[in-house]
Amino acid sequence: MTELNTINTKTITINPVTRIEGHAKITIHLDDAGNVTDARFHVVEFRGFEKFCEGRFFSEMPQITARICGICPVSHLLASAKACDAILGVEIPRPAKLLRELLHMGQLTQSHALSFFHLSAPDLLLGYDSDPASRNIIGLIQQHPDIARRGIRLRKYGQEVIKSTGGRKIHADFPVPGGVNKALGVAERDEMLASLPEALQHAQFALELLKKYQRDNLQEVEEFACFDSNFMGLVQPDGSLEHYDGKLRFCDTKGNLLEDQIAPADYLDVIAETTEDWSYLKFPFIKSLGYPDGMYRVGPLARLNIIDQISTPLADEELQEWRSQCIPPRRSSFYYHWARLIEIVYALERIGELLEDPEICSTEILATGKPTNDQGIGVIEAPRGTLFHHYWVDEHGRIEKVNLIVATGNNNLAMNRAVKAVAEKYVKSHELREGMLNRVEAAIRCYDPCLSCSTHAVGQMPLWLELLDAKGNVLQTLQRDAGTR
Amino acid sequence: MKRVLVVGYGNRSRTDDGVGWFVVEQLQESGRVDAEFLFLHQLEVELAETISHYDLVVFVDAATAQDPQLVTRKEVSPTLQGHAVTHYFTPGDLLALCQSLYYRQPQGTLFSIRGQDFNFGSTLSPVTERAALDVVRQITHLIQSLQAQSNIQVEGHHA
Repeated sequence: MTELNTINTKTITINPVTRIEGHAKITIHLDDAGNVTDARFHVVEFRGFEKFCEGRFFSEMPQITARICGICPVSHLLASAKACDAILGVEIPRPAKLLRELLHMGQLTQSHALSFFHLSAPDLLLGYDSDPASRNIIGLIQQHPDIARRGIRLRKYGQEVIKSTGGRKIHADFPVPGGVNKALGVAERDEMLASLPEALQHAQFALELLKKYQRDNLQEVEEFACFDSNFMGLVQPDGSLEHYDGKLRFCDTKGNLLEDQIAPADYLDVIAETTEDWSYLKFPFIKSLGYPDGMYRVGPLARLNIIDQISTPLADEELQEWRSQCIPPRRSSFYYHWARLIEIVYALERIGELLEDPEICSTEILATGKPTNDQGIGVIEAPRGTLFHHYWVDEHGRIEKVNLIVATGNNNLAMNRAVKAVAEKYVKSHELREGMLNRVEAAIRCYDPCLSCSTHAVGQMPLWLELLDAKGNVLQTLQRDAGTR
Repeated sequence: MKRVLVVGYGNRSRTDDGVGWFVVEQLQESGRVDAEFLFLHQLEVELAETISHYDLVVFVDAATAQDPQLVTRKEVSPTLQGHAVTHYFTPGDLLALCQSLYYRQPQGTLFSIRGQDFNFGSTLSPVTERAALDVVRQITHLIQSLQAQSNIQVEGHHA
């Protein structure tokens, strides 16, 4: 439930934000006249993974970092395994690469299905202004059981792909340094292929649902948490959509290329990070543009904004339709939902391509070697956006330093802008309705943030809240306790 | 013949939290019950569809050390809790979802076994293991009784 807590007339606190992975707090700062002057998305969890991985052997990292999150462990497994491949200095066998991508596409399907059907659909189908007590997955099930069933089936398919490929749905120990540790059986392949058409139907159904919502609510959709930003993601050499491999591309808010085909290993040449004392989440930015002008967005919206095309036919058709209505990039945060659904179609088509590959059931799945490089960098496009794992090791392969930039971290500045954009439009101090505040939360949900993943920074615990006046003077400091979280 | 599913869930890497898995493994290896088995880390929404195909679903989970009973057995009623969000579902939530979405109402029984130790580790503490073996016996009896009753009813019907 959302706790509406008005702390005098100057700050509105929404705490906690519901239906995102983890916990967070948003503060909206008002001036004397009740106008929004600032809005902040606070991440108050502390994890510290970067620090406590030091001293471990690099080969343990996939299993350790996968524990960052029980929702998207596959993403961490894959990025970590890729970083370990780089430390070993090996090129993994092609079948292993196919299987890793298959696992990844299963993850993309289940994660995006969860985000749309379970987390965001209640807002869209039941209405932002509907009773908050029933504006959730339960309410959705009661009012739209058919849609809920489809969501369950689609997510289940993604989960089954993960299980069949990796052996387990959660924390599969399947990607290992040098490849994978389990070949795919013919029966498993055939089972996944047999269920694929149904999953595709559900994804296409969801797309039509969303398109109808967009048509019926065009103005709100176009203006929803809409703001200028740069965009980043991986692309194939020909500029196609890519999630497992590829190189980095950056575009500005008008779609102009800022950087292209940057090797993931060179990410520190183009990205820098800073911190703020009110959040555990770090704030990455494009180095050449500085902080905070170098703000960029990642994830489904960013990926579709930066690419030239999609390599699979149905998803590419959807991309053309998405682009037919406006010249990219799309800036409204709402379009994350649409992009997410197009990506499900892509993931399912890609699953089909991978399963049909003659080498998918090969047992040539592992390359072995000893640590040859003192650094390893693994980058993938996780469901929520670009994920960086960077390890430094000593001559024995023991971890000396770790840098993780997760999707939610990449979107940190953007989420703050999204909250402010919505708050400016919908929140007036003297006219508070749940629907308005939920729109602020909904803006965050567009980014599907995973706070479990993103709060690995080391810093001061932000257990207090500052109330600022229009001149920036501290009026009051409040300590946060368990009862007010 | 009744269709029975036994679901053991928890985290095997956290000592006694893996007791659900232990119980299901013991049942599976014994070969004494006619049932299907499932090992899960947590109850997820997809399970609502799975359980719609069964007549009886037995859930086995660890309970926190504050629980006064070493073993608690209770019949699960379908009730949707407000907390049912992305990855936190109770057996009652799942039965209710099953009813709402698939119009089926399997019987649900939950065995909760009090854990002593939830630190990192893959073996059960001695007290929890003894309790788990007792639960294995209880579930074996439960399923065998159900199947025997079902057979009597079938034979009676044929007669």
